[in-house]
Amino acid sequence: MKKLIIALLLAVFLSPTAFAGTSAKDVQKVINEAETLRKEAAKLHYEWRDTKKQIKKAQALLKEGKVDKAMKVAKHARLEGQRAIEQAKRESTHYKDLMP
Amino acid sequence: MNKQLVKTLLTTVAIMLALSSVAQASPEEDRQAFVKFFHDRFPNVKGDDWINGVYAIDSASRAQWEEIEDFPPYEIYVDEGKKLFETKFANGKSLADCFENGGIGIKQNYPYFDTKRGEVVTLELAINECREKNGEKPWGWKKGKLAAVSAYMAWTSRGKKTNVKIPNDPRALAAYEAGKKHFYSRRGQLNMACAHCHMHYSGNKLRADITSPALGHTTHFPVFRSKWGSLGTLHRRFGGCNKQVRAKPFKAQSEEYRNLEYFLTYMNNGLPINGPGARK
Repeated sequence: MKKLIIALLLAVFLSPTAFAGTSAKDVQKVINEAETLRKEAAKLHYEWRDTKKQIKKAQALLKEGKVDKAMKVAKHARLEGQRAIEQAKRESTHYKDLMP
Repeated sequence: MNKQLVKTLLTTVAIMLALSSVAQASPEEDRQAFVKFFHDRFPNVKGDDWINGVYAIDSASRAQWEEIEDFPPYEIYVDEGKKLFETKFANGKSLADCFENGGIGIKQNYPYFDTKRGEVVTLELAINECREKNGEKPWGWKKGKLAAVSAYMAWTSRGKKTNVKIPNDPRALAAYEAGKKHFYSRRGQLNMACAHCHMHYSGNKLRADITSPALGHTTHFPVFRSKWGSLGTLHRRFGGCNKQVRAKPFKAQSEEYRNLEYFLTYMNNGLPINGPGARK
């Protein structure tokens, strides 16, 4: 039993994925997703103020080789894009809540 | 219950539901509800004092403003605007040739819905279009010469009552509704609408400032804002508000902002023009 547990733990920690950090390709994928969402939000007239700046920042960090930082910023931009689209959909009817 | 009766009942219910979902208040009903909201919220504001914005609801701010009005900071812009307005184009014509009554005392009729073009035309748009039509370059939309001419034209319209019309054209109503939707929609990272600050929180403090009631907002533009240190147009202010809630602002004179101006100015129908104004 003890050997089995050790073997399992070794399998987990020595697996390639456990050591593979964020790759530039992963970051670029998130940046592209963020840009698509931003454009969609803009088309709906609900783009947020800083999303584009964050995408640019993520791209610049990636260029500098700061992959982890770039991923963090890109994910934030992607989340903003998602939230802006949700907002546009919600406000298509909910804007009336604020009318007197 | 026979089949025919069930069918009739279901059809009636469906029609009633459909009607209730599409029924919307007319612009005039909207305006009356809008005005009533502010009258109920600020019962001490009398007459047309709404045109003075936050100074109608806060006596301390009003005292400072009245001192500023002794030497109004917008006066030099009115003079500059008058000169620009009267300056002939290269073809010998001038801005006066593009407007009804030579452009004097007409701001109260702007913005209007142009049924030929199918869009809202603001005073600033009409000024720049006049320049382009006469072979001149358009001015920047937010400040500078355009704001100065707009200030002069507002000055000549002081005291005239806002008179924005919505013609019997579905496109005009759609433009009005689009402006209304912008005003009441939450947007940006802060998820706030124009109506949050300028209706439901109006009179409360946002940091050191008291938010002004939306009723009367359009009458005093363009304004000299101490924060800007210069004169600016209504669309400059719209952009600032959108940025403050962390939404991407639209371009000045974009369809979005022209429609917003159309809605907001319609809400102020009957209030006298007092632009240009001085604000914090």
